[in-house]
Amino acid sequence: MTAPDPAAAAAPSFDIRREVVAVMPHLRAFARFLTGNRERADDLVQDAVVRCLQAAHQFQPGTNFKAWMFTILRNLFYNEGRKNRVKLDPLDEMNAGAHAMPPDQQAGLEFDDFRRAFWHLNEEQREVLILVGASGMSYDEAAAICGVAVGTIKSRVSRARAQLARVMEGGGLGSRTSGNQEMPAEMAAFLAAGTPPKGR
Amino acid sequence: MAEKPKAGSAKPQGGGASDPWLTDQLRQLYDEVASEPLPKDFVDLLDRIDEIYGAVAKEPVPQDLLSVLDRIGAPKKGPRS
Repeated sequence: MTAPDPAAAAAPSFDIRREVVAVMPHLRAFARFLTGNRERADDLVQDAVVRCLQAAHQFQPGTNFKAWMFTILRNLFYNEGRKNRVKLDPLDEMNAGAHAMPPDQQAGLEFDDFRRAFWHLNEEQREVLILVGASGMSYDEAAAICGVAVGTIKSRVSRARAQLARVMEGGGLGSRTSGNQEMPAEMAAFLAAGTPPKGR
Repeated sequence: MAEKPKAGSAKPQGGGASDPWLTDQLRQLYDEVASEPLPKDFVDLLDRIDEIYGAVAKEPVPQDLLSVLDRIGAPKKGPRS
């Protein structure tokens, strides 16, 4: 890492490098869950950072830099990414990190199931769950990033949750928590809340 | 009429996905990626930013940054003109 340059004093009070450093892990995570592909995600982050530098003068200091960067990255993904998007084969991502802990640990098994189910969601569903469920964005911020109404985001979250529960309950995941082991109460509550009652 | 029960009455700050279990799983998934060390490409990119913002308007945009701009079809001008 290079030492601070005295000429940086000429730069605006908004320290874009510091902001980029702080947001980069979040950009990588968001991009990874959008693309389902590590290399494509990292390319996307680099492109987003370059775009950010080009448009730095448009950013209003004091507003949410992370949300601004997420918007740039998302626009790149949808506007430019489609033409050269690789077919998503999320198997690697599905299995990345799986079995990282001893298989007799219930939480690890539960998380492996969740990971596999998550990668069965479509782009839009993964995106909205990551935005509001993991990245710390509010519904308002997620709506601004996606360019839709707040109500649309809430609907998407609801549908994504329901789909996730359906996939997890569907039993096609080769779940390691199934069998004789009792399902954790929190997981059971999520599945019960996310799937419509049977027999309707 | 059978409605879906609401799981978790407390809505997490900043939106959240309403269900504590789901939120916990999503955050684990997210943190796995967010906590990965940055690849060298990224560190190099940050160094380029240092160079650009440390020598404002004195030098042209570095060649490697131009190649990225080419790749994404962006106009070839500095971040701050």
